[in-house]
Amino acid sequence: MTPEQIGIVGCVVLLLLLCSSMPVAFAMAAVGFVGFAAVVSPHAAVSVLTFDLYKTFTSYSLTVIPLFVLMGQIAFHGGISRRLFNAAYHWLGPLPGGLAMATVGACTAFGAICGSGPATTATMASVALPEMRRYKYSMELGCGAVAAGGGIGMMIPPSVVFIVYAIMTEQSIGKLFIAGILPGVLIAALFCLAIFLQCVRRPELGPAAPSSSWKAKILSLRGAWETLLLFVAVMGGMFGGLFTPTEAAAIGAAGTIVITAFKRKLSFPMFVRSLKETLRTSCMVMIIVAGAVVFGHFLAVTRIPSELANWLGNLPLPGWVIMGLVVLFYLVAGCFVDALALILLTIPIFYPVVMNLGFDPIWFGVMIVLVTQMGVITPPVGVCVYVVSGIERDVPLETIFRGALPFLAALVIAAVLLILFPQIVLALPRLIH
Amino acid sequence: MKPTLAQTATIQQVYKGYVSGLRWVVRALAIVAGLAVTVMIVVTCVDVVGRRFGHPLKGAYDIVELLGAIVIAGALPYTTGCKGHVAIEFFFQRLGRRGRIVVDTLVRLISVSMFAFLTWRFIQYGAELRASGQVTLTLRWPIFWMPWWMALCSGVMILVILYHLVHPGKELMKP
Repeated sequence: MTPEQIGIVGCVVLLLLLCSSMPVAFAMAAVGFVGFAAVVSPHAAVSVLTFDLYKTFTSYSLTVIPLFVLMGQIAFHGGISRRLFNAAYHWLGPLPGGLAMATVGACTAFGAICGSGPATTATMASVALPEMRRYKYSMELGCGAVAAGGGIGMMIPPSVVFIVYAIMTEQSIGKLFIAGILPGVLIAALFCLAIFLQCVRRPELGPAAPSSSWKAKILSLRGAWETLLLFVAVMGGMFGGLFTPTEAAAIGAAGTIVITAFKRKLSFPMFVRSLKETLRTSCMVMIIVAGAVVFGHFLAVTRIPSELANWLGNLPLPGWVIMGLVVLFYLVAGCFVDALALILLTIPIFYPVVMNLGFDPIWFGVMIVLVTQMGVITPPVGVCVYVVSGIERDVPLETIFRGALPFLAALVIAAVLLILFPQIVLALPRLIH
Repeated sequence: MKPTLAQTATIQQVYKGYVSGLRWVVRALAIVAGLAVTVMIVVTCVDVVGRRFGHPLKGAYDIVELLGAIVIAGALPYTTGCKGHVAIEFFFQRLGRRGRIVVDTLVRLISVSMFAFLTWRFIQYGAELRASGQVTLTLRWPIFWMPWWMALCSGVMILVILYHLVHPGKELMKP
């Protein structure tokens, strides 16, 4: 067999293993190892497998993941999310659908200290949904807003998806982080617009909350200072060249611990709970990265990615059409496969294609996060929707998926905007450069 | 010869003890990993603050790198024990009961052989690093124990996956 044929067989076997509920990371490592042995030699495969895993495990840049995850966990258990929602509620609550908009706003703000979409969703679901119930909001709108809003946390730095993409493609984590800010704000605005339009058409979906006094509005802003402080310290220090992403994450985690201790919200059981969740989440992410490195090595020796890139590059199609197809692929595949795993599976294949077409690697990273955001709210496999339904058990899954649909439309519009105006992504990173 | 009732009871007792021992080991590895995260924060903060005053912590980079590896490897059996890995259950859940058991067994056997292989390789790799006297970049600490730590965690992984193989549909421990 030629290396290409082995590569194709390998991909088919991987797909079978994935569908048989094998953990994505193990399947990638196993297929990558056997495939490499078949293409090169068993002896080389043994040393590549050991060395890849060892190198990934001892990689300095990966240490940023547990630190940022811990920061988000402590912020969650420390009640920072509640205070953010409270502030957004005082300002946006009186508008039609205002509580849903406040949720989106609070998700965006919480995304600034938490790197994971599902974690942001879980946080906001437990804070915002009871309020919405109190004001007789339609749970379809409410749950949809929470599920979709949590996804914004992946675009707003710090973001685990950006970190993983940066490590896989050897791009700068800092540049990707700063590139995510404007698109994140744009998506939040589009989400609010989607809520507003729905509630203007059917006011019973989201009745306005009583308006609060200016004094209450100003006072509520106190709940946002800690988030702002952490965000400025972490991102500012990173962009200002004061410290590396790992150092920024450690400072952020330490800062969050100090602030929650100051607010008397820190306790030993709470810290242990945060640590446990941090271990599970970051191990899950990092082990997929390790598997993807092994699998990526195998794919590289089959030469499939480079040939696919050449073939697609020579097609008589404009680049944006191929880009559109790539986005469509992620949208469809993202319905079935966990978003992060999907990215890691496909980056070794698509990254050379996209670079060959002359797209900016930073811009592509943002696009990837955008399609990931779509993936977490599309049926049948949508992590954020599952998270919401796990917390709000009496709302049927279909209702939440339906509620997320308008936000999916908003994300598609955002994708079109980013393809038409790449400046939205690239303006800030250029400014820093 | 059929075992007597008393013998069966003893075997059950021993197995129970083995499972709770396994849980204990998995927890212990996770505690080491959790401590490593905490130490990572402290070391990095001391380094960053110290640098502002002209006294950076020597070898902070080395230490954080090592701690990172301790975290991933140590958390792996725990994450697996709570079935915390990303897997695509969508198609699997649509199989019949018999199909699920067959597929589940096959998949776990593949995983067990992979980790058995990795355990053996990491032991060897550690021995190679020890023989060649490999050290960390700045601090010049010997490094051979790191593959051995990974081998230990990978060895425990075998036991965790075997537990899941014997008890389909159950997880070893609660998160």
